[in-house]
Amino acid sequence: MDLVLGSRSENGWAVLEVQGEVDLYTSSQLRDAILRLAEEGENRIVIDLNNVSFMDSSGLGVLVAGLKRARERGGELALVFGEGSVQKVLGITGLDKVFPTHGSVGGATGRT
Amino acid sequence: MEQRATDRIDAAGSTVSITIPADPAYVGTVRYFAATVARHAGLEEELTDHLRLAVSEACAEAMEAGVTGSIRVALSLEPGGIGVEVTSGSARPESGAPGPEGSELVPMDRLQLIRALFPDAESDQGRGTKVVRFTARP
Repeated sequence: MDLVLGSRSENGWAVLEVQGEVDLYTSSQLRDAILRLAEEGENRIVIDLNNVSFMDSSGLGVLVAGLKRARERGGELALVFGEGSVQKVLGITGLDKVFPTHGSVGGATGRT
Repeated sequence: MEQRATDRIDAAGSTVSITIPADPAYVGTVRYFAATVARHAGLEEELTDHLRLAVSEACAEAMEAGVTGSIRVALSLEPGGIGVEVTSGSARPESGAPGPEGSELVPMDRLQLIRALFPDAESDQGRGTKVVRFTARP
């Protein structure tokens, strides 16, 4: 099943909304979407994972690469997610301490 | 001929298995299968989520290693839990699909992640097959 991806601007951040399951099959779609934003000059990116029902280490690899790329350009990549699969896998791997994480997009962009 | 995922209940009645082509498009099917069996077996939702993640990682690991042919995931209903065996053929010697971008930056590999979820997880390789085993129990 393909991911549903959409992006918008909010308060100086590019917000990438992701819906679906991120695994070995679909993670390249997420990677391409992040790369596209970077190519468009966006260096402050929020990835909204609230509607991601599953993520494995393929997805984590893409997120880590996106964070590394953003920071190399002096930018930032933040994650938004609630309780569930994403929180679990980030916690198990310790990556929840590596990414800036927020419970809402507004919290990430400083809108609220 | 197009390969399809198949599932069946083994003769013993206590083991349910699914065999999929070594194609990433089928990993989601394995997750759905594992979650369905786990719920039928009465596993708690958190344990079911861990099982889903672990079987997905085991299949993905085999595919990234360049396994050709099929991958079999067998779930054995045991008192208080489910025994899991993910069996794949040998990887092509020189190949191995490249891992996901940035995977070297993830602080643990797929088998480590499975072990973090299920500490008894082990991996055996020999005679042209590789098997990842673990037990999902509270």
